[in-house]
Amino acid sequence: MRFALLVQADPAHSPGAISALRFAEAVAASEHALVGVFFQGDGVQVAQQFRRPPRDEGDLKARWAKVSEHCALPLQLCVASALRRGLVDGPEAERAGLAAATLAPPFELAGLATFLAQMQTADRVLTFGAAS
Amino acid sequence: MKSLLIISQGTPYGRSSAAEALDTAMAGAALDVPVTLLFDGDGVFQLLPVQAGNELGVRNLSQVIEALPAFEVERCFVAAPALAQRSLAPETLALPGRLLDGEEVAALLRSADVVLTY
Repeated sequence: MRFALLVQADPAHSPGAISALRFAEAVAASEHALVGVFFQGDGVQVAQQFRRPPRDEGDLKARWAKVSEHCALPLQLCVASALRRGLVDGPEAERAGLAAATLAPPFELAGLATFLAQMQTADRVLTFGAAS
Repeated sequence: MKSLLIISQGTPYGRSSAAEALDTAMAGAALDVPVTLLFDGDGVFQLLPVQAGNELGVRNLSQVIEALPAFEVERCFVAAPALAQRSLAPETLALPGRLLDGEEVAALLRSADVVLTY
């Protein structure tokens, strides 16, 4: 089965962020496939290059990077959600005259159209961390 | 093309999920995805007719909701139980679409290919 994931949960505020990661890791280790992982709203915070979680909590973005490498899958952030939260890639930082990129690779910026296309090719779409 | 049901259940200005639901609905409609938008839970507070989002420094959501038909988001519904639970009378709201009872909401959920909650 092909899954598309929409991650809306902020790793600092909601267990939905780690649930999404664990689900993706489980899919990667199975016969199933991921067609896309898209981060929107507060979910984009996981890609902060400068995030320093406490040592005993682990670094979600490093684990996401492994999933991305294993599945040859991009990790894409809704560009509007990312920019309003200070998440910029190299070209965007340069364009805006900012000191540094804040987006950790391999996360990248993308439009909502990317997610809507993933939704069309997936057998199931799962959301993580919607408002309760 | 798979159909998309977006459930908007967040307050209009407490967090950004309400604005994101509207953005996603408009993006879907622009790409010819059959989009349905359902206001449920605290999302019905987005339908209060007098809002001053601009004074909070954010987009005024009531104006965005009013403009949805212009962005081809034409299938909008409101969950009637959510109004009753919040003592909101339908005639005091700017309703973008018909009220649905609980059974109709369940039918809507069953009929959609993909459901996204915000």
